[in-house]
Amino acid sequence: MKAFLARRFLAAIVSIIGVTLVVTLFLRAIPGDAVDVMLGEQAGEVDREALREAIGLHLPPHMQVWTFIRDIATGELRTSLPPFRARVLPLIGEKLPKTMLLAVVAMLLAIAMAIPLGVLSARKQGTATDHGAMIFSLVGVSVPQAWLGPVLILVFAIHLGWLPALGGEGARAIVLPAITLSLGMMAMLSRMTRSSVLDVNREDFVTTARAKGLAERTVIWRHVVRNALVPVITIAGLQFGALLAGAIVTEKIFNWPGMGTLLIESIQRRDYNTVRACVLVFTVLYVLVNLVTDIAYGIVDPRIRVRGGKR
Amino acid sequence: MKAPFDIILRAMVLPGARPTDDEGHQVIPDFASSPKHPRSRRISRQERIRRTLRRYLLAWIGLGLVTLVTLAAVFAPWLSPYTPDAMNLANELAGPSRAHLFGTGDNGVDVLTHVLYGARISLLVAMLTTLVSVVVGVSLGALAGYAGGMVDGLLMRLVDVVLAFPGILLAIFITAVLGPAVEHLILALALTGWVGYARLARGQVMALRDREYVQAARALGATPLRVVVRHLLPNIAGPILVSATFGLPAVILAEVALSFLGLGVPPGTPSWGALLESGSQYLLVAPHLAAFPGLAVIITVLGFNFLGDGIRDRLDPRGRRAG
Repeated sequence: MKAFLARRFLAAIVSIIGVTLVVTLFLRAIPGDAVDVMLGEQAGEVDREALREAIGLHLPPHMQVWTFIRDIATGELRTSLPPFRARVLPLIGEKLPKTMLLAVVAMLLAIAMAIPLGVLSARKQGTATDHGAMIFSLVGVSVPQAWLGPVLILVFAIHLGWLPALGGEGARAIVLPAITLSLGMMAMLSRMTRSSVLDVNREDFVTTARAKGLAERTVIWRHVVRNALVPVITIAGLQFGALLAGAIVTEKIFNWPGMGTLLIESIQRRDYNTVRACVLVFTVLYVLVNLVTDIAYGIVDPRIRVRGGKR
Repeated sequence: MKAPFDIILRAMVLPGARPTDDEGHQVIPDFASSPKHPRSRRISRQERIRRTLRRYLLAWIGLGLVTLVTLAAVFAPWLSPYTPDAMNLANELAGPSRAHLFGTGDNGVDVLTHVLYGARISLLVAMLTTLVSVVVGVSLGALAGYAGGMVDGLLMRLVDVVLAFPGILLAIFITAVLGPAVEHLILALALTGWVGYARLARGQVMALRDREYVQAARALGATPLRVVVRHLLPNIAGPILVSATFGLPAVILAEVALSFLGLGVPPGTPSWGALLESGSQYLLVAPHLAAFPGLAVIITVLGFNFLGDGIRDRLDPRGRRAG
């Protein structure tokens, strides 16, 4: 168990360091002058120098990385927009909860829809219900958010007028963004639930449960589904990071004031420091969620860590 | 990270959904208590043919859709009723009509023409990205699987680290810094895209490298390169093909997302994502602007997914024995 934990931590830490290096040093790897790329060739010399200083390009590489880490840790990191005064961290502190809220609601929605659908589909294997559910899940992974979101807005906000289209306050405002964000995951999870239920259903202990005369309902929900859900929930956890990344698109569609909107706005304003802080925060979250999921899975199912340890 | 990935693979790539009994007849696994379906039942020849046709029906539909879209992309200049930059200011943002089957957009450009040209760009990006990812991933994965030891350990740690990155986020960062361009898009997506193929190739090579025919080749003095290229790669091509068939539509969706965020293709390039982006700004006055490019994406991605499902079923050895 210790070796398993150590390996997981190590990979997580290396990933975070890797992203830190990428976001700090990537500008140096570009051929030509990075500042030209960012400001355009006609920018004045004063602006260039100020930008160089704000993003640490005037420093040697190791100092640039160190300064960035130090500034993030102490909260001293400032935007790289003139006049270089606003701090980045309070901005992120304000936006991050909104993105987390959206992602968590979307994930719960996906799980709540996918599990019943997948179980139903497995129980009716080979029937029209099963085929219908699986075609739905194939369609679900094929629909781009950038299309689904606008369609939902048109139908439910504009034509039916049931829900607010953009922005808005309260619980109603989150419904359409959460559906948009969750569809892909919902589709994928329902497929996984189906195949997992079918796998478990063939296990000996399920036959035993039936043989001893338990009601079919008890067998399915107590014995089959409970075991089948372990891998499904794990995948859901691992996909949470993808959901966070997907939220960037959803936020743009619905004008949701979260991290994604901040990231895209900062990119458009060429506010490089905010961009890299956002990327780093997203990555840290992603890595942490994966780490926690992995460890939780290792604790629930000891086979995993044994097999992982031998590798 | 390995364990859940195995589960994904098992669920997505090698589902044990179609087991057969000893004589190769399909067995219908079912819930034993259901009186309609006994636990296993032989099926007649006729029933089997019907079932095979039905099983591959979706795959045929998928192949049809993919072919259709590919032809549309290749022959876009001949199929398009207008040129991509033909404007008609008198007829802006008009709905579908006989002259403009998909309606007109900003400045009266023909939406159908843009969707056709968009197919070129979106498919080109997806195919090149997948090609680069497969070549890099399979080379490294096969190397790791065949060499084993230190090389394998190092490469797999690298894979672990790259897998821990949110790929789309890295792509956003890279395209944001480098600026929108097709090459940057491909670079950004392939940078994390190769790891899946590397894992798959490594696992497959490890499973095969001690088979008799591989040992025989080695005993005859074949160099490692020759063993891998001539004996191993042809035998692992199937699963890699399946994986690429699922990977390609994922790249199309990633391109759509990036272009929608204004980070994919340069402004003015009609990729599907860019068309969706500009279309969604006219959602109220001209919903057809976003609807048609979106439908094109859905049809294409769905086609690849259907096709991938079919190929996977065909290549799954347990499925094949029954067929």
